[in-house]
Formats: sequence, structure tokens, C-alpha cells
Amino acid sequence: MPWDLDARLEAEAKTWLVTGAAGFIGSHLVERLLSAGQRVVGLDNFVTGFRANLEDAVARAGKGAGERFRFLERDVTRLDDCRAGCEGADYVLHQAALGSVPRSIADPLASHRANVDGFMNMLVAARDAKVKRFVYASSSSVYGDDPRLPKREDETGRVLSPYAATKAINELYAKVFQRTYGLETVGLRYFNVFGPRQDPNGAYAAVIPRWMAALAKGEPCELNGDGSTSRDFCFVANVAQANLRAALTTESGATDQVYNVAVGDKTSLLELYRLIRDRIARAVPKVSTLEPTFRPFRAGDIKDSQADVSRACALLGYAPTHTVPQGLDLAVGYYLERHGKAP
Amino acid sequence: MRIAITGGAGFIASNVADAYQALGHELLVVDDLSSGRESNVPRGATLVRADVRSPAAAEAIERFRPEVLNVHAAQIDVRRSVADPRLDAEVNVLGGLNCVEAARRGGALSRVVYAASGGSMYGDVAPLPTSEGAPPAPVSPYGVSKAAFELYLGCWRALYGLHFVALRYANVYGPRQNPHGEAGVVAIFTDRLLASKECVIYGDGGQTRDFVHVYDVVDANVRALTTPFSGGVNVATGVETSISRVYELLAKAAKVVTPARLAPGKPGEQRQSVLSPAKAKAELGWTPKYDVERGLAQTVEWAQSHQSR
Repeated sequence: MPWDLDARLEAEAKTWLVTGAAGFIGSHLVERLLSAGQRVVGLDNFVTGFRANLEDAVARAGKGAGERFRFLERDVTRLDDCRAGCEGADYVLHQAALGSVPRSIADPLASHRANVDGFMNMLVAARDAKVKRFVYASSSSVYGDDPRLPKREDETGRVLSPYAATKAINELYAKVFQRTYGLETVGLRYFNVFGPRQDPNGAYAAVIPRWMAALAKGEPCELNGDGSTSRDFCFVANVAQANLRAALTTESGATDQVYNVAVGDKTSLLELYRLIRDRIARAVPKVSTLEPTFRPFRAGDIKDSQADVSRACALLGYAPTHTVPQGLDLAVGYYLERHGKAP
Repeated sequence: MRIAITGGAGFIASNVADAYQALGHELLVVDDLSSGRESNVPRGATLVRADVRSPAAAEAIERFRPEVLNVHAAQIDVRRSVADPRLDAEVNVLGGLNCVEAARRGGALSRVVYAASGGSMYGDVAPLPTSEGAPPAPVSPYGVSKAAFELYLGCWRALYGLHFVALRYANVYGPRQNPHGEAGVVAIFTDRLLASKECVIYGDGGQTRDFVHVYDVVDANVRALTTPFSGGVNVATGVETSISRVYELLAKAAKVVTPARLAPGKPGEQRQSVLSPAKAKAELGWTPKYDVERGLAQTVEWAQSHQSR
């Protein structure tokens, strides 16, 4: 029987630093923590995050949430900014990073600075501020070219993109910081997270928000590959749960560790497209028979990905609450509201 | 070939540069001379005095249009990496990326040869002698930064077909070594023995390392220029030698009879380290020519002849 996360949160209010707080996942962590009565410091440089995400998160967290939230417009590539964020923090949830495989191919040095130098700065600041635990976002991309499915944490291959390399390097540094300086670390390998507030715009947008926004406008979607590419898509509420559990678990051997965070299912891009189209079609009937435009496979992309989440279940008490269809049901409204034409 | 070599004024890379020069290659040496020496750079090679992290280094490399980039410049002090992991990462990872990107912009790059660290990347749980298939499990920030750059090289190969050979060195020793690096013990003992100063062994002296002579390492760097093999490969002897034995051999060569003094060991120090050279033999046709007895004697001889000058 997994331990009760809400009871643990209710028992005591702590101070949490969320980096990348104005980003998609970061803003959900802010919302979840504030909803549970915690004190939250958010840090973001607004390079890929949005003030509107923070406002939405705080507003949804209920009455009085704003008083327990403090925002720092800072940058993790500066050590002093990381120190300012870690001051007084009990837990760090480090999400700040330049996401996207293609972005890292276009500008590997920029990804390196944000994802490795920034990570190192946060580790040093968290160590010196004596935070209780450092939980950080890793990625399923660290599995690289290892074809084995489902992905188990100890079976990784050769990384295929600079983005994947930055995350693999983060994991190595986190382990060394725990063993050398005693900073407790937990890495969470996210598998294709989706949900409200995920950015649909720009060249590096993820597939679900891109498709939702396009279909909400009644426009066709582009699909990279032949549609058989599959992923273990994970609704953002599952990811928030995993983060909080990783910070609070008292299970021995739970730190100095990495975990898959996903549902444990796989959905092909073509199946995904139909799931999304059918949901949008309820509001935008003209897309109900629209087919995607097929494009070539993208460089650096892996073909299939599916997680074994048993380690997170065993050591963190993680239990995903949302399947892909359930998550899409909740996400679709957000995109219709913002990108759909008024009925 | 046009070869840019970073850290080319330092211990290992200056020996490599000598060999490349002798083979008739055109050389650009990039070194900030923070630990390297200008006098180590072979005559005829162009020296650019610049930090590998700097735009100046990048510009020089891009303009040179190297066909091969040989990356040796590094922060090599494990203890310093623990004291300042940020600096270590900047020099060893960002510095390396800066140079590779510059070399790619030059437009002629077909290969990277990289001085990786077999001694620090496998950690202390891998089976001995450790082979290349062991996953990276470094125990120091230095071990991470050295492994990190090799991960990046793997990406460049996957994305652009850029050939790389990561030579995962065991503990390298020999002429021109300064006492501050990974296998600094040989240089430290040699210096002190020849100056008639007492040598200190930390721990019981039974801790072992795989000592590989720099001339053998040079040979691996020469083979790396043309081998069809791409990936990480140990450059090691496969032979474990204890620190006590190293002292014994050096003292004998220096004709000193006083024993070393034993002092308390350093916490966290690896007890044993030895790497399998089987892959280097199979893929590069490389085998070490110096065993420690001959190699250490040669090192003392070299130090004596350079001290008396």
C-alpha cells in the first residue's frame, strides 16, 4: 500500500524551490504544491516559460495561494541566481532546461549551457544551502539507441542527441554530488509529458500541443514518420505526483537513484492523432475526417519508447492516476479555449 | 594532414605532437600554457596561446581548418575537480565543445581523437580488468566531465557521421609529466628521489594502478589518425602495479636505498584499477612496448638528463 502523499503534505508545510516554474511542467508543480498548502519559490528566466503559466497556476491553486508563492526572475546559468533560489528551501525540484532534441542539434552549446552548466550551478547552490533533497528532471532520451522494451533504468544505450547527452550527464553529476558531498538526489526520467499549458508554438513544440492547437483552429497536422513511431505519453499530473513523492519518500535506497516516470503503456503517433482528433471534433466537427500530412522521420528521434515504471512504484509509491485518454480529456479544453474559434 | 591539437604544450599531447610532426603532419597547437610549456611544442608547429573555452581558440581552430582535432587540453586534477566542479566542467566539457564546433565550422574535419580517462570513468564497482562495455560510473566530478565529452562525441557521430576515437587512458607516466595530474605519483616520486627528498606513500602502498608509458600512448594517438574503428577504447597495459612497487622501481633506477614513508590513506581513494587492453589490440593493433620496469627506468633516466642540463 503506497503511503498517502496528501497526508504527508498536510502534516507540514515546507519550502520548495521549483526552477523552470513558468514552464509547462514547472507550473504544474507550483500549482500542485500551492494547492497542498506548501510555500513555493519559483525561478524562471522566461526564455521558454511564460508569465501566464504562473498566473494560471497560482489562480487555480485556490485562495491564499498567492501569499505562499514568491517568484524570482532569474537564470540558472548564473550561480548567484541559483543561490538566491535555494536560500531557505527544504526541497528543490529542478525543471529548468532547454527542452527539445532538434533545438539541441541546432545549437548544442546553448543546450549545454542551460542543461549542464545550469544543472551544475543548481547542484552547487543546493549543496551549499543544505537543502534536504534535490529532485531533477531527466529524460527518456537517455535510453538512446538501446532497443529493449520496456525501458528499465539500468539498461541504457548510446545517446543520439546533444539534448539526451545533457540529461545523461546530469545523472552522472547527481550521483557524484550525492556520493562526494552528501546531497540527496533523485532523477526522474520523463517520458513525453503532456497537459494544459504545454506550449504549442514555435519550431520545437511537442506533438500533442501542436496537434491540439492546429485541430482546434481546424487546420491539418504534420506527422513525422509513418505514424508507427510510439511513445509512452504521460499526463502532467502523474509527473507532479512523482516529483513530490521523490522529494518526500523515506524509503531506504530511494535517493542516489533515477526513475522512469510514465504510465507504462505505448501509443503510436497515428493512434494518438485519432484520440486527439476525435476529442477536438466534438467542438470542431469539420476535423472529424481530417488525416495528417506525413513527413520524413526526424534526425535523432528514437523509434519506440515504453517505460517500465515498477521502480518508481516500489520505491516512491508512485501510482499513475491518469491514462492517455483521461489526460487528453483534461487537456483538450485548454487548447480549445485558447486556439479554437468562438462557436 | 592538418591536425589541431589542444593542450599540445602539455605532458601527453606534446609527446603526441612530436610524433605527428615527425610523420609530416601540419600542426596547430592550442594551449593556454597554464600547465604546459612553450618549450614542449615541436618546432614547426604553430602555437596559439588561448584557453579552449575562449572565442580566440575557436577562431584559430576554425581558420586552420583541421582535418583532425586531437583534444587533450583539460583540467586533470581530481582533487581540484572536487573543490571546484564548475571549473572542471567548463574546461573539460564546454572547452571541448567549443573546439569541436569550431573545427566543424572549418569545414574539413573528419575525425576527433580524444584523451578520455579510463582510470576515472568506470568507478570502483566494475569487474577487473575493466573492459569498455562497463557503463560509465565515475566517482569524481573529473570522471564525469571526461565521460561527458565522450557522450557528446557519440552524438556528433550519430548526427553528422563524425568519426571519433576516445582513447581511455589508464595512468599515463613518462617524460615531461608534471606532478599534478592523474598519475602524478610517478612524477612526484621521480622529482623527489632525484632531489634526495623523502617520498610519502598514502595508505599501505598496496593500492594498485595500471601504469602506461607515454610513448605507448603516443603510438595509440598515431594509430587513432587512420583506424577505421570509431568509439571508446582503453589504452592500458592490463597489468596492476602497486604504489609500493612503483616506488621500489623508481628508487632502484635513481640508486636510492631509503624506503618511502607511509602516511594515512586518503578516504575514498580507489583500491584497485586495471583496464583491459584487449580491444586496443584487436581494433588498433596496439600493444604496449614498455612494461613498468623498463618504463620507470626510462622515466628516471630522462629526468636525470634533463635535470643536469
